[in-house]
Amino acid sequence: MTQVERRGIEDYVVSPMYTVSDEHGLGLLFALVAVVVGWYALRRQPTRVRASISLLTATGAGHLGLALGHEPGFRTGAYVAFGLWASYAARRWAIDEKPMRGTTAGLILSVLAYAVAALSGETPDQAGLIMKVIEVGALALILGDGAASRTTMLRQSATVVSMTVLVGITGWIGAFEGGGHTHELGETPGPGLAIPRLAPTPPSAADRSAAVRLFEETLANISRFEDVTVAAAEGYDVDAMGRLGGHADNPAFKDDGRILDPTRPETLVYHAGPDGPVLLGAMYQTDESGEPGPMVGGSLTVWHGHDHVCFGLLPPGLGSLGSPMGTCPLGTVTVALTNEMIHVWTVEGAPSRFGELDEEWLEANIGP
Amino acid sequence: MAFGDGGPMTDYRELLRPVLLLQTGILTLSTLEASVVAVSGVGSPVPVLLTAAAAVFVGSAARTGRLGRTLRWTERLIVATFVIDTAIALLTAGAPLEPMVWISRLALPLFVLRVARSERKARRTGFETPEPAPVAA
Repeated sequence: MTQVERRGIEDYVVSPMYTVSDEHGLGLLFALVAVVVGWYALRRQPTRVRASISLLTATGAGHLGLALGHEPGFRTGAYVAFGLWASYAARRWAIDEKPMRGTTAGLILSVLAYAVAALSGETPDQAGLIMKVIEVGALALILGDGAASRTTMLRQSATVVSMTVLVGITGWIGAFEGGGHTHELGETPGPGLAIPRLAPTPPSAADRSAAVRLFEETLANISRFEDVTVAAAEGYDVDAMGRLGGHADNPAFKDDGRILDPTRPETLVYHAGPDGPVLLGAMYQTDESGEPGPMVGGSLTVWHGHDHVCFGLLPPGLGSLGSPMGTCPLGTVTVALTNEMIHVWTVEGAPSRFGELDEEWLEANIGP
Repeated sequence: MAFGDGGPMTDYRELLRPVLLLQTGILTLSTLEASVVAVSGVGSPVPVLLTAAAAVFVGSAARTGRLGRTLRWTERLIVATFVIDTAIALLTAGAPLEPMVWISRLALPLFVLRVARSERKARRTGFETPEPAPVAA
């Protein structure tokens, strides 16, 4: 398997939620062009009307663009129908100088349809998310147009905020439902997981024996760390592992130029059991982000990185993952791509030696 | 008057409430995400509190239309973290962050800051920006 000197984010497969899928590129382009053209063409209209019609035109054109990127079928028909309706609604608004009846309902239905698609396991992408933000924006402009009582304003505000939150939550569900988490080559991962963009190849006999050797050497070297006090005495930061999902780093072994050295694994992984932390295995890391890890066992020993990690500063630890809406919580920074890493699971009975450890097995055999 | 030409933003004030509502929704979602991580025992409550506070400031501004100092600093903080995160992304991943980030963490807060700046400038020069005229329901 060929190794490259340094990888950028384009050399990894990440969750589609953070990318524009090929079939949606045209839709996003159409939407962006339409919003600019609409904004310019309506320059004599009041700003609010100008913005509303531009956004409606953008979602209409965007959906027609989405249809061009898909094979004929129910979904494509729905894109065309909504695209034509939104374009017509925008035109009526420009002529009548008020939104036509059903515009609000149409936009809400479009957002709800998106939520249903995401709940059924369809992974959202940037084009779809931007289109929904455009629609919620148009909705906010329509709902807030005109004098309203305090109660009506509150209801309108709640509608806009809840629609935005709905798009985000269902986006998460779609991204996790539609994404894999086995760390294997060729899979489309869930949010936060970056798998090298390499073609999966069957492991050779040499790959298999190298993978066995890595496992056995790791097992022999880390068994003594089943006692966390021994790990702490040898420099592993066991106090911080609660904030880092059971990962205890050894700062002395990081950036030491020795990658995949079973005598110096950068991190130990524990899980809380009924009688205290249980050692699950070790995690090796490269020294820099983008530095490819040595796949000594070929496709049996696939390294992975993490992308869009919101890293908390107060105190250091995981804050979240990059939201479908493009944010990280305040007080965190976005680590776009981490160093590569590989887990070696040495705990007795583990269903896999490398990659992801099955959560159900973990809960059933070690603890919740 | 075109957006960004440095002139008064009277017309653009009409877009302020929808933009602030959209931001409130985005910050509410972000608060929920940070809460899930914090409750799972991995994260810290600090990002939850900071983001929730920002959601309250922005939501309050959407209701009152007042662009106070706290709101302006909140928007600046969002833009500042965008700049830092973009620099980190370019260094670690070799590419900027995805388009949605540019919308939610640059375009929306910059719009609010631009309107706020225009209003303060108008107040200093004695030209009060009128509230948008109510339209008959």
